[in-house]
This record gives sequence, structure tokens and C-alpha cells, in this order.
Amino acid sequence: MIIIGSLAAAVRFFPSDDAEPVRTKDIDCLLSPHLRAQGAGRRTAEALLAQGWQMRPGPDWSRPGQAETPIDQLPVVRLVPPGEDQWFLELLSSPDQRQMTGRQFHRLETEFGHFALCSFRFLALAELDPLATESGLKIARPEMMALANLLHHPQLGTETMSGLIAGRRIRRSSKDLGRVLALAFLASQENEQLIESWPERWVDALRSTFPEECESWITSIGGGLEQLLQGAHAEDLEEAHHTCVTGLLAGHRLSLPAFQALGRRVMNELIEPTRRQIR
Amino acid sequence: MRNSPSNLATWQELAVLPVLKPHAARDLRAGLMELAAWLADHPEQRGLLVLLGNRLSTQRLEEELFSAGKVMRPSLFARIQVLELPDQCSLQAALEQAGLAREEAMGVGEVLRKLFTRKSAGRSPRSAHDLVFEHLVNGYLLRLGPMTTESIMSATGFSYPPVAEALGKMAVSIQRHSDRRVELKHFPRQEWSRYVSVYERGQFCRKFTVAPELARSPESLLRRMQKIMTAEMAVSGTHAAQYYDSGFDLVGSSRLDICISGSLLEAIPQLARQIDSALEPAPSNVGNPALVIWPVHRAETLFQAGSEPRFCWADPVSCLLALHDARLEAQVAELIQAFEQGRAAKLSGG
Repeated sequence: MIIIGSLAAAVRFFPSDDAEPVRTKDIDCLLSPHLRAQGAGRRTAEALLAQGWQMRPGPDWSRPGQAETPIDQLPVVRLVPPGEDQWFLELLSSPDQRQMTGRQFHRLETEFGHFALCSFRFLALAELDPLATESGLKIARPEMMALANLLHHPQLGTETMSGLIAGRRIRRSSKDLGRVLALAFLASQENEQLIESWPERWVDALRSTFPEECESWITSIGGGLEQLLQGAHAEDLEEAHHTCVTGLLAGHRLSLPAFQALGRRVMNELIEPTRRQIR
Repeated sequence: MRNSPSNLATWQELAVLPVLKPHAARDLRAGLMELAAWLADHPEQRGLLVLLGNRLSTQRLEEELFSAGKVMRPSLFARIQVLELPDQCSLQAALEQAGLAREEAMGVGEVLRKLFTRKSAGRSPRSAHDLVFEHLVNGYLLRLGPMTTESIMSATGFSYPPVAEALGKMAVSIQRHSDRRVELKHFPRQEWSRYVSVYERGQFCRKFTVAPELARSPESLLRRMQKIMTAEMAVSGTHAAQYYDSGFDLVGSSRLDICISGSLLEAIPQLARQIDSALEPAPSNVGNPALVIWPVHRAETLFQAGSEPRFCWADPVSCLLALHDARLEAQVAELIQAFEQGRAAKLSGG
């Protein structure tokens, strides 16, 4: 199991006794490798449900499905611990090497009912050389999470997140691309020179994980981020800023113009050098 | 035979004509016609029309060249090559990328640099008086010895009358030798005060700031600048002061000062963004800039080559100006003293 998303970033960049805790509402758990994801997902879900964890309450997706429930109507595994309503744990599957779509659902049969395990194609990158933590859990590398987000959004989209972020409905691409900037910011705060190795790491990761498509992806990487920084998409940028300053960057008081400047820096120092590795 | 266009220069058998930021077809046509007319009188030469910072679309450019090919003699048109060079610092790298052989790129790059320097001096916002003063002070601090009026004209880019007039205004501080060469007798402190006041009023330097959360150390900016360093750039301020005087106190240095010349005078904001794209232009009275860029309008910059390839230190006057701007008056005095006492050991020839 590899922890991904905001909690992984928090574990990587914030000491556990940090004065300003990172606000996150979910723990995204990537089950890896793909071949063992089904078995691990079933055992994990059954163990948690047996210990009193509940499906995340809500009007939709709060009850397991049955054998006859179509896969697109099955809930994903989002479980809330006993007595808790502020956060939940979500299980995700690593993608099959043959997965060509951005997102795919796999049926997960448990003794409590049927669920869906979601696999995102680009999360194959989050499986690369994860970092060990003192707790024994592994967390995805920040640069690989950033890369997965960049590839997932070659352009800005209109799909919105299912839940609210600090009271607001936010587009998925704004949230994910904002995360790229937040990860780059936190990494450079820790070690400015370390981040300079990201373009090379990204290209190596893409060549080893997606040898067929990597050349064209590298050439056009960061298209969505580029759009986000253009004046015509000021709303998307503001949403990205909102998700960061109410989440991973809550302790940093980054203004919107500073966030935009950070975006330019990421384009110039990470995206452009990555693209140049093909030219 | 026609006169050469004012901004045409030759290197070996190549005539180079730069066109700066062409944004309309007429800019391109005018350049092509000028070059073609010159080449018609010089059959042994090839022509290179260099579009610097081209604003024309690729399609428009191709259409214009196609039309030109139809109206010019084929043998003449075949001798013209058009190169597009983006707004960037590394002229030679850009020329090589555009397909010129290394030696050719070096030669053409040098020709273009000289053209720009000439052009820059021609429209310098600085007075002859100030540029002559800068050159004399640099000569004094660097111990270059007495200078001829011709060498001062060449160094400043001004003709005889304004240079002679400027020397006349500084007569009290100047020692004239029997061979008519001149040099400063001492550091002209009173004239220096006038000079820095004029410089401050002119707001010639350009300052850049960055959001506090994104601030980088001057050393980090310096490291980034080194990656794009060209002969038209030099490190100034406290860093250069420490180069000139190893005992110089760097405590409190929170900014990077750099000097630029030649074609970079046209591209200061772009250069700042190349060093750090998070930088924003700031007013000249801003309290704590992260980067300050000082344009050098003299034809001879007197930048001092560093130990690393392509690395240059700014001339002493630029360095003192930057210290003054940073309100490091004690350090200004300290550095002048170091030069005068010969403690500044890394002087040219010293």
C-alpha cells in the first residue's frame, strides 16, 4: 500500500509536530502492484468494515452494491473510522500496464458487498520507488505525484470535485494542477537544488513506465498548467490558489500574485527543461 | 556604388544586416532590399539578414520570402540567408542553432555585438560627461595609466567634441601628460557625488522584487545567472566588491547586482525573468530588491574576466554605484580605499 495525495505530501514535507497541521480530508491508498490490488483491497476493506468503519455517509454511494449492480453504479471504497466524520480513507488500485483510459473501475467483491476499485492510468508513476516512512507505510514521491497530475490534465477541464474544498465547488483540473505548484513549492523550500533534478526524473519515469507514448507526452507536458497561468483562465487559477492556501500551503500565506509567480517558475524551471529533453 | 546601410557589417565574405523586432512585412522587405542592393555591388559576398526577436508569423515570413524570391534575380536571392533569432542572451548559441557553423557563428555573433554596442552608444541616455567620467575613474581604480583622447572616444562611443568638452569640465582632477594623454590625479570625490546624484535622478537601473515566500538568496540568483552568462553580462555589487577586495565585508548582502551591455540593453525584463521567472519589475525606490540590473552604455565595458569561462565581474564604477544604491556608504569608502592602497589585488595587471 502506498499513500498518495495530500497526506503523502504532508508526511514528506511537514514534521509531525508542525505548529500548523495540514488540513486534509482523505487518505488515498494506492494498492500496488496491480495483480495484487484486488486481494489486498478485499482484505483491507473487510478488515476495516469488521472493525466498525462505515461507508462515508451521504445521499449517494453510501451503500455497497450487489453482484448484479453494474460496475459504474458501485461505490468506491471510502471508509470513515468509528466515531469520526472529518476524514475518510479511500482505496485505489494501481493500473494494469494495458490500461489505456485515464480512469478505470474494477469490481471488488467483499463479504460486505460489492465495491469499485478505481485505477488512474498515470498513478503508475506514483508506484515508482516510493519513500519509506517511520510508520512503515510507504508514500509516493512528490515529483511523481506532480508528474501524474500534469499528465492527467494536458488541458484544463470542466469536471468538478465530488466534495467541497473549504466550502467551494472546485474543478478537478484546478485542484490537481494547484497541487503540482504546491508540491514544487514545498520541495524547493526544503532544497532548492533538489527540485532541479525533477525534469530528468520525470523523463526517466515516463520512458520506463510509458515507453510507447512518452516522447509525445514529454513534448507537450504541462499544457494544462500553461493554460492555468494565462489571463483567460483567471478563475481556474483562483480555484487552484484556494485549494492550496486552504490545504497544503495553509501555513505559507501565499498571495494570488505570488502563486502565479510560482506557476511561472514551475513552467520555466521544470516544464520547459522537461520539454527540451526531446527537442 | 551605394553606401553601406548604417547597421550592416561584414565578417569574412558574409554581410550581416540585423533587423530588430520586425513586426510588419515592411520591416522585412526594407531589410531584404537594403541587403540585396548592397550584395548587388559586392558579388563576392553572401548576405545574412538576422531577424532579432521576430514578431512576424512563420506563414507571413515564408510568404514574404517567396514574394522576394520572385522579384529578385535568382542568383542574388540565392546569396541571401534569413535567420530568425529569438530574444535571448546567448547570441552565439542561437546562431549555431540556426544552422551556422561554430566559427561562422562566433564571427557573426561578434559582428552583431559590435553593431549593438555602436547603436547603444549612439542612443545612450547617459551624457558624454558622465561616460567619460566613468571611464576615467575606472582607469584610475584599475590603474590603466594615462589615456589618449582617441582611446576615451573609442571607450565611450562619443566623438571628439563631447569628449573634449567633458575632459575640460574635469580639468581640476585631471593630469595632462606631455604627450597629451590624460589620467585622474586622485579619486574625484566631489565630482563623484555629483555623478551619483545624476545617476539616481536618471533612474537608469532596473529593480526587481519577488514575493517574500518565493525569495531566493543572492547566491541562488547568481548560480542561475551563471547558466545564461554571456560576455554582455557581469556580476556587480557586493559580490564584485569581494572579488576586488577579498577582505570586503559581505554581511547583509541581500540582493544581486548585475551589469549588462550591448544587445541585452533591449531585453532587461526578459533577462530578469530568465534568471528567475518569479521576479517582478519594481519602482526604482523600492527598499529591498532581489535583483538590480545596471545598463552599461559605454562602448568598452571594462568588465573583468573571472576565473571561470564566460564569467565576468563588473567594472569598479558600476560596482561602487551598486554599493551606493544599497546604502552601503561605508563599504563604498572602504572599496575606494582598497583600490587606492593597492589592496584590490585582482586588478588588471595588478
